[in-house]
Amino acid sequence: MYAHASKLSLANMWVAFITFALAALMGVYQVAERSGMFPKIEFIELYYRSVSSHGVIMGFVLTTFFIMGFGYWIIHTTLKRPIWGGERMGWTGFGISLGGTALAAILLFAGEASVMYTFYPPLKANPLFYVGATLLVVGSWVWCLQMVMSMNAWKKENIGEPVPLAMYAMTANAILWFITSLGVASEILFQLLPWSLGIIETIDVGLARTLFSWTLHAIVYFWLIPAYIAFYTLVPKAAGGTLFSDEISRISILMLLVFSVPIGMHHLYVDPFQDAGWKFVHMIGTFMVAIPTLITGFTVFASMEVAGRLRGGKGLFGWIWALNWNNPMVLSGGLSLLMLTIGGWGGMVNASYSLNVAVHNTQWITGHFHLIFAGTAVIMYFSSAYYMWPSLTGRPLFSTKMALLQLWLWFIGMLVLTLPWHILGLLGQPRRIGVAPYSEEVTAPWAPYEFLMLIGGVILFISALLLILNLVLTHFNKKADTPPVMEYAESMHPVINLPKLLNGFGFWTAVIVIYMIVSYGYPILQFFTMDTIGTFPWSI
Amino acid sequence: MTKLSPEEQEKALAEAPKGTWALLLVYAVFMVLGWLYMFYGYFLPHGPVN
Repeated sequence: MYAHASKLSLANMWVAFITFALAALMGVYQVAERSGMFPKIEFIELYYRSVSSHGVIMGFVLTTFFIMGFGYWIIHTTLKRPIWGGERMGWTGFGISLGGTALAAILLFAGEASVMYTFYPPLKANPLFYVGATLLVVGSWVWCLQMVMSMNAWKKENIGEPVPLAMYAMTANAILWFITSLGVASEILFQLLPWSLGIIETIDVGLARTLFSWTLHAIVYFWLIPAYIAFYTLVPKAAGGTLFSDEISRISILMLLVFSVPIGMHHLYVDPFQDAGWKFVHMIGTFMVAIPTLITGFTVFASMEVAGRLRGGKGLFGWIWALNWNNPMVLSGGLSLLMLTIGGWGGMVNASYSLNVAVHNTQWITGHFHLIFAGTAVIMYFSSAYYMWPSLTGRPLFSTKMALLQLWLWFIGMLVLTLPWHILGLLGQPRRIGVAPYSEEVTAPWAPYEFLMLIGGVILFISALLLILNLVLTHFNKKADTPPVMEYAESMHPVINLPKLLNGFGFWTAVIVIYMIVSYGYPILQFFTMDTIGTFPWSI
Repeated sequence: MTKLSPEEQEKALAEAPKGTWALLLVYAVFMVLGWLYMFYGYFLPHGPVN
């Protein structure tokens, strides 16, 4: 059973990491192009082709496939039962997602879908790109179903028992992804696809952007929750300690689930088709997400503090130095939380309705989401892969030293890339531009930061190569005498009487639906009750 | 890594996470000061949109 399950997980994760390496290469090209230092590679059409491919791969492909692979492995290692629906259903979902990815990739590489990963109209792609993107999402819905049903089946077999935390959190993520992907699915199905096929002549950009905002913020938590799972269940184990509190971790995950979906309109602060009052409501909701983030910070630090003290750390901060930073999981946990701090601060600026104007659509935004996604989340994907690979392959990790070097390079590269981007944003550089046809007076102060951005991009690419090399070489390592087991942290205080609300999702799903109706009902309904302006397509 | 006695281990597990609270306080101060700088030091001095 395990060997089959590991193949499904590995297949998903290899799709994630192979496409990631490709997108990392595109990233180097993009920073080189943007730097203005290499006029011979400045091709606007190629730049947007690359930016769109990079964004789609990193935002949708790397994440979806890695998370599906992680989820399947969690089912097997925590529930210790077959996946609901069987492996074949999992492979079917994988095949649908992979087919959709391949179709979308062909169109992206051919320059038929240079619409960025947000595919905001009036930018229009080849209809097959939207079909491919839809298939990627539909395939992942199979995974969502299997996660939820596997958890329910286990609960029926283990009445009254608390669902293992990693499984509980990953199931929350599956529910979150299903609900949040309905926004973009509606946009594609009812607007983009008929529009790109010529069935309808014009598109309501306001409605499209509102529907995409439904997806656009919670998708960040779809990306982040696997990192939080690693924070809660893998980092304390690797550090030699215990999880500070299982219950607090569940509360934090539930708050993320409920708070993160109905707040996407903060991406529309300067868009004219939504009223300021609705934007204010969404701003309040956005700031509420800071609560589970702080709870997570507290729980993870407290778990690490316990581990550090068990290793002999004394005083207020002595436990920090006592931790085993030579363990990739512990190191990535620390580095990830540092990037979350800086990225979180930037996020508070973006989320503030008034302050947002100062940074809106500037390179600051690119810096912020790279720190949160590519920094905080993806560095935990790397260390989770290092942690899982021995149990998935039955072979020890090829090189822990290479893993540590790779993580440090990713951290350093990410800071060297994104901190200058924040400054460039404050200096007025727009995001998503290949060239800046502005006066010398405006662009001259950008030069040193653009050079740093280039250095950061190269460091990140080297780091990406080291990741792939280490994982590939692990497959050629000698089989371990004793098959490595995937281990999770125990809670410091065993969970005995867990309230039902912290062991299921029925009530919370209802809360999200009500919250969604309140926060998105009228803002979407208004497009059907008032005259709006249809927009004709435009392509790069 | 120092080897702890069973009593010391018990104590380490029972102790309140004072270091974590201190660290979070530093984080909170950093966040608030950073936000205040952006609002009063960067945003407002730009003045109204002409």
